[in-house]
Amino acid sequence: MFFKLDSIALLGIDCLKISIEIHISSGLPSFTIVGLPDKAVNESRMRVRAAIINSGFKFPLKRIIINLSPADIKKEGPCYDFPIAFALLAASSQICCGNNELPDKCLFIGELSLDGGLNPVRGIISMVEFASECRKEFFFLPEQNFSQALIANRGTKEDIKIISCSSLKYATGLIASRQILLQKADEDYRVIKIKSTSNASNINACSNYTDFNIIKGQLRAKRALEIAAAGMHNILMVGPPGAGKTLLAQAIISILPELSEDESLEVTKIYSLLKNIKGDVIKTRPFRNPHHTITSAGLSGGGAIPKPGEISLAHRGVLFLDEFSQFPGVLIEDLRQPLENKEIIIVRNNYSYRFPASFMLILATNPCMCGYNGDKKKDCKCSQREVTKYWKKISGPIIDRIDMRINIERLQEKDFRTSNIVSESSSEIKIRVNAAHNIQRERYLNSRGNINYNSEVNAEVVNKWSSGNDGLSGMIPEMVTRFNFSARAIASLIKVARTIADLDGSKDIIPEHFMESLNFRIEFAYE
Amino acid sequence: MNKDCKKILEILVERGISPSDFIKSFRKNNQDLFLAIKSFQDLNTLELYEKYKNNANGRSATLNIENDILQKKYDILNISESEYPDILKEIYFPPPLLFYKGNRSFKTIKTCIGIVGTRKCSVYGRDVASYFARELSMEGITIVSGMAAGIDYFSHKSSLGQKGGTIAVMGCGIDIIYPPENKKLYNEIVENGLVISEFFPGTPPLKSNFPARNRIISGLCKGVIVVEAGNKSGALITAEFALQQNREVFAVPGEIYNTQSRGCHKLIKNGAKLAENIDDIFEEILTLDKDFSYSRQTGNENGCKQDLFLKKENKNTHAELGVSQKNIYNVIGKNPVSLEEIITITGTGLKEALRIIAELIFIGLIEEKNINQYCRL
Repeated sequence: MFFKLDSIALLGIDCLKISIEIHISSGLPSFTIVGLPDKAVNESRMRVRAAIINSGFKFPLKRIIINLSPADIKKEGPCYDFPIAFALLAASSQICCGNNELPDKCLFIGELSLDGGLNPVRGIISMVEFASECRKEFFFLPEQNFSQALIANRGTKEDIKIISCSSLKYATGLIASRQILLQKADEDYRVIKIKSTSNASNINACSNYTDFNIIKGQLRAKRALEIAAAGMHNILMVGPPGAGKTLLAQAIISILPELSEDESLEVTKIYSLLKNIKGDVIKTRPFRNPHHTITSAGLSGGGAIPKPGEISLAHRGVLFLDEFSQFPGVLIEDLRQPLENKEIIIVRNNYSYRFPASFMLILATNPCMCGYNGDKKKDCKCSQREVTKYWKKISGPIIDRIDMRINIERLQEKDFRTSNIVSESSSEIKIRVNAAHNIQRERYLNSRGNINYNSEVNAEVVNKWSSGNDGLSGMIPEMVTRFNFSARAIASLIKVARTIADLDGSKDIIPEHFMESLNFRIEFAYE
Repeated sequence: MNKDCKKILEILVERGISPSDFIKSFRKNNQDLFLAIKSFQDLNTLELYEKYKNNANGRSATLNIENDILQKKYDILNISESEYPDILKEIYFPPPLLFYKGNRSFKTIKTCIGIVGTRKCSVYGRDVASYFARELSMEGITIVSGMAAGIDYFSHKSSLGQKGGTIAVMGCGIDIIYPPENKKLYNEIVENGLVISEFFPGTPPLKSNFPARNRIISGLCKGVIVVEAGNKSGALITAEFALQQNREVFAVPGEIYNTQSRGCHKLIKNGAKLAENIDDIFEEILTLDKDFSYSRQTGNENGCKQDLFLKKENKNTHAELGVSQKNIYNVIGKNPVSLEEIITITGTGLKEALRIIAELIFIGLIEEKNINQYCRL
């Protein structure tokens, strides 16, 4: 007997259709899976056998061969348990599928538990999107993946019917009584099954973020972070130990607006590749803070079967590299391409795995090895040579891609005295940042090349901003002669000025905005 | 390369005679180079000749130097040539050969002042060195320093391209750039000034070379200004040489807490002249050097100060400051203030304060000295 049905394999965040073919012949009883299965796929034989028996079916005592095609890519994970079990039952005629017409319209995914129940799988959002692309009608998936799948389905062009299954037995029942399935819209099934969509379990769900008003002093740094958050500009903070770089960076998440619907889907998609996310989608922006001992694969993604790295996990959020100077040079160079292309492509075995990586980069570092270069009170113990060497490693192409650079000093005694400067709370700042984000969203609604924020625009747009603006174009030549700025530096300044104007709600960039942006581009004496 | 230089090179490189022996003989023979060379050639007994005949290394070294000079990589000067600075001949042990590189002739260089100090200079030291170097070289005085990092670097940098120009004295071979970070500076000096060295090309920057180099710095100059020197700084060695060579020693005072000003203060205690502005330097040079005249001589000390004062006034009148700009400018004094202080005193909003500070920096009225420390220029 031969039977065939379709399932899905994950390739990065993209998917590939997998055909599960089964052939049952007489002979010595055996159960073999071919087509480059990994350990988890191979072990599904045991789960399938137990689940079939515990669901009240018979496991055929025959020679069973299962092929996962295309046979040249490595299959991983337990997500093929369900289709294999289903195919086995169909091939041994225990469920009636007619002339294969119905299974052709279906996709199956799910992990079986020994009692015949279905357990959730990873990467469900990518799979739903893919299912609608390949024009299938029904998508059978585990109950616990249902709420996420519904949200993903809302975004797809062609609505497919998502069928949540609690167990193998339930699924076979639905197929067998195919009249019901064909007649009833999937809406009914949704209503019945939606249960656990109430509170989202977020990866970094902790509402007790560092609030801006607990940070003393550092007025300029706070303003800089507000601007950076508003335009998603990359920012570098340089300062002695204890100045508060890490605290400031962690506080930025409290002023970033929540993810938009599309964005939260993108983020959830990436996170769901790594582990099962129960419940809803992720709503807060991710904040990733990898330690400097991280490997290249850990940072940019990789492995025998590529997994997203920290830069992809920081997608639509913040990647914070603390003690940036401690990161090995190779890793720093790895960041170059993702910063430019907003995604990373990893190639393995003829297949390329794509992971989006559009993040805001925050770097923090000391000004030199001992940390006190430029400090007012403490002497720096480094020689000029050491300082130059220290900066040689950091500067270059990466620094070039950073729009904002600020110095941070340690708190002085006057900052500890209660001053009459009332620092704003994060929620107040967040309102302004949110408004700026909205302005940008409107501006780039119909732009080419997937631009969302001021920091992402290309030189062409920047030129348009400056050339149409008399006040600005008059100032730039003077700036270049006075401060010896490069063309790229001027472009960065204009982008930052644009964000400042957006925060102000101003339509055009006026010279005042440009002047303020100058504060956030320090040139290092030791560079 | 003339014949004399070649003969001296042969004696020094191939025969391994030390330069100081050569100078002794040169002095013994009443500064007659021909006799001095001959005295070494007379020494050339059969035994010695055999010993050095096969000194292939030495010979190839001289050949290399000859080649390089032919290719104009650098030039050479011997002690008896008229271009050789007279003032350098006065010192106890002048180098018999000077290698130099640059597009200036020694003849155009008149009065030199050395500026030396620590490599790890503070912002204050940087400003002081730049001030003296710039102002003195604008008056036609050539600034001599050692092309190290720190004070040396800023002295060269500020005097480059001015009327007086600059000379760098190296502690290694003329063809080696040390420290390597100063490559750009080296090239600039070669274009606009002079780089000199007494060491044979290819000599690495050995520790022992630098005190020897210091004697040439002080030897070339009428006086040496020490800007920021620690207790054991090499700049103090230069000052020591300057005293031995009967040169004037100036020292710039610093903060008493700063370890980098200990050396300067020690010099002042021992009788070095305290240098506050360039008039202090001119006073001494005028008594030392009757030929030297400087453009502001007619105006004397007061005139000079007035000049500086006028410059500041001009800056103020040129920039038409707005009310808010003036408010902030008035708060910023010569003593540095921070952004927070500016905001508390003036009551300006953060955004506006940041903007105005940038404007004032742009106009050139204030600058950021250290992190978040603003003061008037």
